[in-house]
Amino acid sequence: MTGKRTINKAACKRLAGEVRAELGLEPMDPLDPWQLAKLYGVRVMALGALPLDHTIREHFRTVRPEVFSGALLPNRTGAVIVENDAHSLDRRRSTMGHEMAHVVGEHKFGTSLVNERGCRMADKVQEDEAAEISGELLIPFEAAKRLARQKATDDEVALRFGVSSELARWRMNATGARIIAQRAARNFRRASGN
Amino acid sequence: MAKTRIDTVGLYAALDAERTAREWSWRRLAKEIGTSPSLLSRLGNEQRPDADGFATLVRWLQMPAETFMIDADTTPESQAEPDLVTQLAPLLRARQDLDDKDVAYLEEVIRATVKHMHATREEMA
Repeated sequence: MTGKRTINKAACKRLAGEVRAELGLEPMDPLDPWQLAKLYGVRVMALGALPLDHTIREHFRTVRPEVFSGALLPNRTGAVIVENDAHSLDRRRSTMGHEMAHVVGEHKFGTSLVNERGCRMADKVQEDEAAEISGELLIPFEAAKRLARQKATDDEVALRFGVSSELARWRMNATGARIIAQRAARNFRRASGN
Repeated sequence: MAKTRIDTVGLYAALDAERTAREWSWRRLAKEIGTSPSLLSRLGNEQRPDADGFATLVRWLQMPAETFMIDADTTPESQAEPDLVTQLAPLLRARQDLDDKDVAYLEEVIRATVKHMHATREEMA
């Protein structure tokens, strides 16, 4: 029997929870992906720090910054991340979170190369898994639920976790956090007769 | 007596052999050993474990610690490594969102990173 391989979201959530616990983080704490890379021994090279021709650096800094956010490259038995430090911090955090998700997910590579629309050079299932794991690393489900109960806006969630509003919106929608909070509030009103 | 250091490459290879034979992930191996997955990842990135970590790993392997101790001035074996740029070039060129200049410059970024990693590895050795 051949079936379409899909990701196990519960396993991704569990894994991200274990990794956050290794960093000593509570669900509402923001994750620093550079600190995570250091903990896992993964070297991070900023594009701006590489000995590159000025034209090349400017190409990814100002001419075509959208084509290169970062890359995870194999380095003997380990890995190294190159990231485009010309991007905004919230975007860099998202890129780093994604690349580190590949590391903690023990994905086989190849190389993962991220542009502004996400990873583009890796196995589709691994990509979906990395997106799920990095989402859980950066904004855990438990935090999304708690913030939805508090009626936090996307911008407030983004600010709390140091990510973009787009990523915050995606997490608040994909986790179903707001639907769960609305349902809980409705049930509470019903039970209390209001 | 010659200064001694931990053979991180050999230790990682021994653990990997055990892991592969059991079809475990690195995370599972860490749980079985009773250590953290990050310690094994650091080892894979050629960073030495602390004394407690090293003792835990060799004890689990049931191998003498001396097996993984080498002279500090031993030059690490240079392993034949695949040329990343050669490997990646067809993949980069296949991408519709990259033009020729993007591909050429990305190849330079990869080349510079590999070169930098080699240089710093030699400095660390």
